[in-house]
Amino acid sequence: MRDEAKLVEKVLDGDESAFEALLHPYRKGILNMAYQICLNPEDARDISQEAVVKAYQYLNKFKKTKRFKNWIYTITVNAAYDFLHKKSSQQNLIKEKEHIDIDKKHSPEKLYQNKEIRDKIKSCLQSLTPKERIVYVLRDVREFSIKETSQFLKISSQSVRTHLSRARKKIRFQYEKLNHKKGDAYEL
Amino acid sequence: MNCKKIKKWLPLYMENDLPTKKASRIKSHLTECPLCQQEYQKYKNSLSKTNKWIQSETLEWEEQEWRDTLERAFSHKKPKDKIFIPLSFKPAWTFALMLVMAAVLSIFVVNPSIMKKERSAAAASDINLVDTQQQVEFTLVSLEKNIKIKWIFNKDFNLKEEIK
Repeated sequence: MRDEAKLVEKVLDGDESAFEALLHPYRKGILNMAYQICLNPEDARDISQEAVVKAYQYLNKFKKTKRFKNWIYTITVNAAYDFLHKKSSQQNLIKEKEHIDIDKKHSPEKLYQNKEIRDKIKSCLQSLTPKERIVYVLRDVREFSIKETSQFLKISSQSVRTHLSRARKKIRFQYEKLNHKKGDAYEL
Repeated sequence: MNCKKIKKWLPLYMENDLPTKKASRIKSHLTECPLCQQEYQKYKNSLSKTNKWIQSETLEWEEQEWRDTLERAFSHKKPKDKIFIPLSFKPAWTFALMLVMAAVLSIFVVNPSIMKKERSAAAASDINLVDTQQQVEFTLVSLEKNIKIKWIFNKDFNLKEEIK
């Protein structure tokens, strides 16, 4: 934490390489948090890039007594929320385009499996509102506490519990609907 | 606690997101009620599988992409020290400062003789200078109704109002 405070000071003094060192431990976390929230590789990359740019721009507002990890994840969550909110207002959240992560390292079988998994998750998550989705990913997928989740979203712990309860109910409903639709041959 | 209430609280009971007292009441109910126990298992199964799928979905930065992102960040305005944050970012302080400046200006605009008085008082003696600083006057004039209101604050900030 002290090292991070020193790195922040260096960045504020104009040392750009210090910014890279500061973000390095969290770069994968930023990208995956964005990806698990929006479940679209292209959108996740856009959200992460936006978060990195904002982190650099507003680093002067970071309080050195706080944890940098929480600060950078708050920026990522807010960028993801803005993105989802914008997208849902355009009514595109459900009808997302088909995206296959083009990666030459992956075999066609692997790509197919990935796509299949992504489709299943999307079916379970598509009924959630942007806030429910984010609360669910932060608490259940990223395993942050209720208090941390409330700090990321700047809402009360009670509000986090309400969104979380609704999200879990909807996921369970979607999961069973999917299982019922596919029958026993398609056990998820 | 009846089954209806248990069903309401089950989603939060799953990951210990309830107060201990409530959680222990639900726990004891689940040992006695097979229907609620079944409901609990359904929740557990659907949530744990969904969580695992999402956790298995990961991406990696390509090195070039990461470099480009950093370059994009550096091309934006550089962060500055907190001292140099423009006042426009602090609306409350900007408003307060403007209010004080307007009050000070109004003293001289409405009653420019104050400056002259101060100068002449200062020239007369040091004691008089102290006297002139014992109070601040604000004069508000309504031309329409021909009313003049004078607010006088003494050194203890007590207000005295004169209406003419």
